[in-house]
Amino acid sequence: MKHTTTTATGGNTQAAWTRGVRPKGRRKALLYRVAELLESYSMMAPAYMVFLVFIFIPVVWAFYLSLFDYSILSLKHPEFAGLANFAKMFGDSVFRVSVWNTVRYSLGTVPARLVLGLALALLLDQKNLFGKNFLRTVYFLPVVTSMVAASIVWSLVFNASEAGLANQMLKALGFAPKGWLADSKLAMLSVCIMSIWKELGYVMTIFLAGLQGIPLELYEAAAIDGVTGWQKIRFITIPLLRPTTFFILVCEVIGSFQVFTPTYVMTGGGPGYSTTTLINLLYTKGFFEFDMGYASALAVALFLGLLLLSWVMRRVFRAEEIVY
Amino acid sequence: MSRFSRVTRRLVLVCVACLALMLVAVPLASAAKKVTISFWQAGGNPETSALVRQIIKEFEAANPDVQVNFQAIPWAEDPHTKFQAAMVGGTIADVFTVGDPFEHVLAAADGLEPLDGYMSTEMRNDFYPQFLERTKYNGKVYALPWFGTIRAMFYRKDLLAAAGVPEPTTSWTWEEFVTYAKKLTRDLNGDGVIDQYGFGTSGRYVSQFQPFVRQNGANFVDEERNVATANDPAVVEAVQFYIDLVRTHKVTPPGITTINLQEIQKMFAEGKVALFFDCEDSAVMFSREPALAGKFGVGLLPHRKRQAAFAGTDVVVMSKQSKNKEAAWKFIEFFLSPKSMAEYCKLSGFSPARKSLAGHEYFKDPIRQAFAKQLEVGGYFYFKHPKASGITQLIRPEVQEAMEGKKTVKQAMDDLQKKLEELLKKP
Amino acid sequence: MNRGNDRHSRGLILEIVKYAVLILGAFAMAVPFIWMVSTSLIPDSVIISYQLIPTRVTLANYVKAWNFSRNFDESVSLGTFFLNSLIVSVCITGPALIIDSLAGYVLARRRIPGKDLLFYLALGTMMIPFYVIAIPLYLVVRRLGWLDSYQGMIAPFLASGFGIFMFKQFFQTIPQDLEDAARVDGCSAYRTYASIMLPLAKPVTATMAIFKAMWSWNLFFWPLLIVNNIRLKTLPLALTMFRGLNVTQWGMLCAGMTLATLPIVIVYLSMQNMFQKGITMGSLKG
Repeated sequence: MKHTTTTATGGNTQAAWTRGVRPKGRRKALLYRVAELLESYSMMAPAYMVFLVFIFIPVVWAFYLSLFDYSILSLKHPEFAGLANFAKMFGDSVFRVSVWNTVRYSLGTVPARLVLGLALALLLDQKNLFGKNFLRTVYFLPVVTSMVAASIVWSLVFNASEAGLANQMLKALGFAPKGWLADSKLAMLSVCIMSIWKELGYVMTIFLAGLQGIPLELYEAAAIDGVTGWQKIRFITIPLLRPTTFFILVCEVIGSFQVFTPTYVMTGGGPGYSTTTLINLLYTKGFFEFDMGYASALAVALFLGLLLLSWVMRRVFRAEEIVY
Repeated sequence: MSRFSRVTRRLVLVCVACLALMLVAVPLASAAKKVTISFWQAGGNPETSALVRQIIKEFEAANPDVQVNFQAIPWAEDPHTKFQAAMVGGTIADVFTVGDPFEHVLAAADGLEPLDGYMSTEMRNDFYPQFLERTKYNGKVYALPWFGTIRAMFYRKDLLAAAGVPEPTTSWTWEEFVTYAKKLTRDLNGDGVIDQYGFGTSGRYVSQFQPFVRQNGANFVDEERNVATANDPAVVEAVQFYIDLVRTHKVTPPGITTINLQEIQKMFAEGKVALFFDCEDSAVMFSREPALAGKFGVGLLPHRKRQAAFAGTDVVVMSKQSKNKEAAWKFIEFFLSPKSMAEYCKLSGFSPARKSLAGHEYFKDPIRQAFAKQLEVGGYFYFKHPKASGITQLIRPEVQEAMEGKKTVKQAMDDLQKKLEELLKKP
Repeated sequence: MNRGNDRHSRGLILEIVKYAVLILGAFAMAVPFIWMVSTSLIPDSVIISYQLIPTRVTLANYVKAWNFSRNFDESVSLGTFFLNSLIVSVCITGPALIIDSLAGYVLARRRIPGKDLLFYLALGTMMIPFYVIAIPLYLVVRRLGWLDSYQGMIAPFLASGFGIFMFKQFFQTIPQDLEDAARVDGCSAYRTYASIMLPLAKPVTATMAIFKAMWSWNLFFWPLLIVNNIRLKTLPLALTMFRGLNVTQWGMLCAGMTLATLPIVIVYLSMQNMFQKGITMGSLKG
């Protein structure tokens, strides 16, 4: 039964529905549409069940908790605090520093990853490159390692003593050893270098994907017009990579605002507060200063900030051509 | 078509298998008749945990009706964070150990069972009073000390002899300490670069610089009155002394603001650092190093107004949520018995918390005695405050900033004072 | 003639510079790994020095790392942690691929009310830092009775905004005709998905499989919070056991890290071709 309906009306129903016109006198079509909807929703159900239970409910809970004064110390009697936890942020100098540090981390990693990632992708996209797969693999290797392990290894690379690899290299080049993670001027830079190293392969890979999407004919046409290598990149590749770039940018910015493990393992947020990021602060407030309400408020603020930031990036990028 | 569905079928199969696995993988439950209690240890290394398991086996042999599920959670896993989560979630172990002063946090959260009622007078009197007093909360005993630890001065005998510096068997004054540390800071090969430093330390740990503050008769927080005292002149003076070691006298290796203590230990073992503060388990580690045989010793920290060294204790507590408190207490009693405690301390190098072990032959070893002496002449505990971990988080960055010269010590301590006041204000 | 030569030699120089940069960069990428492996081969002591090429080589650290956990529980070796990591990664990766692709398919191809909202909700999940929801999530998982269990480690990650996004992007590139043909044949949405869409999405699936496997293999903070039972611990947790309070055995730690990294590298290498294909097939073209 259903089969015949489908064959007869499948295309029509679709067209009618999109025009907002219900097919007249076709109860079967309506039934079919309901069945189709149920089918669609049932396909999405598993994913959104997972989201509901393990993300949306906890998020709402976190929002709710951010309105309370609570900690493990006062767990049984959380006190309603209204927006006091949010108001506190304005007077908290460490909060300001941690926001600035998070921004510094973001600025220190995202543009570098984008530029280096694109450069690498362009280099490794060439047809006749010897050892292409090997090189791609080597550049991708850091991506597959765990952040904890990478942070441990790099804290030794940036060891402030002469034994550290970074200082050994400086010494070989004739420079004086540096304090790296022990120097508040260099600590964030060191963390950024590690983090660029870790994620570069990922960005490169996604750019490589984007490069495949650019039709070869465009380059061929450009070659006929006498456009040289750099100009090709400047006027064809980069503009056409816009959607990819936007995708990476948004993902990387969001990711960089959530940085925690490298700073936690490598510097513990120091020296001073020089590498204390928002999540570092959140973790300290929640689990060491036992101010879970404030920690939840920080979380909510970060979430709202990220929403705003993504929206701004969309506007700036005018990426309407991407179907989101 | 068939290829497509094969892929699909395989994927579905994987899914079904996974779901089945999830259902089958029931948390490992044990036989029902026995009383089962769980015991978590915060910290521990493989050797000591093996011993703890041995002790548990002995306990189970003596008490066939009780079974103990043991978990060791190394310090690197932030056991205290886990305990908080487990406490909130109501899944905390019946008995567990924590590092002092975390027991105060849990007691303040009403998470612990008071132990006064369980303890015999004889047992109570056998604990060193300073430990027992230490772990009391609102006058009640919520935690029993398992072992004590203290940070004394480690020194390289060979480096001291080469520089003509006496060994710190008696406590040096601050002035002597500076003089000797300077003497021990040397450019050995004459290339203009220092390759041996007098004093190894790190701005990452409050336990590395708080001793100076306590030696000056002061503290960052007056825990009795619950007020911050970080910009007290005596605190500023002591922190200034510490910072001067780094910035003015330059007797410390470079890059110590955030360095891990392991790096200092390594430099000490390599002979790049002559003096540093550390506790018993490191002495055990160094004494196993053939290259260091006879080359290192343990002595007293310097003093000013008084002697003071950072002491700590790991304590055993019982959760209020426990459903088998009788069995839990039986286990605590056995676990803290002089016999078990002696074995544990012997292996780990830490100091026993019970008086009846004082005459134990093992503790006659000179290095052990040095730690005992330091504890005797002056050991202080960390802040006896539910917010101790928060206090740490605030002190450290300020001292690091002063260490880097970003702020004067006075400025750093003024800033710290404000932050501590804010923290302590909240109930 | 002259000019041609000139251009030729300039091209050669460029070529050399290009390779030099690439190789130098590759070396910089590899140095930490080389260092890790060489440290794992050096006999462990307090006085180990950081060297890139070890002078004395031993496998003792590997043996020690393998048996380390037996001190906590005789029946547990590093193999146990491997198995746990494997169970968790496979049970996340397998079902998550299906769950994500199903949702991605609907979002890309089906007309349903509230589609935009649902899509933004999925994207929104990417914006929530995990630490934000850690405590409430802990409470949820406790209510389910899943603390200290595989389910607890697996279930929260069975769907991801990133996966849904990737699959949606890919499915949008498949010509509508293919699907229409299936509909004419009377296929249900599930049939269409399973017999037409999913097979076409094989390379994307491979890409996502690698990402998910990699990511679930390295899961750290969440298992750290909910797992206490040593028999259920995964590799990253096992590694933290190697870092005691005062005494870190670098050789053993590096041996452990090497062993923990190896499987995922092997998975990547063996799926590398598929992975590259998936990436280049359009899901990521934006």
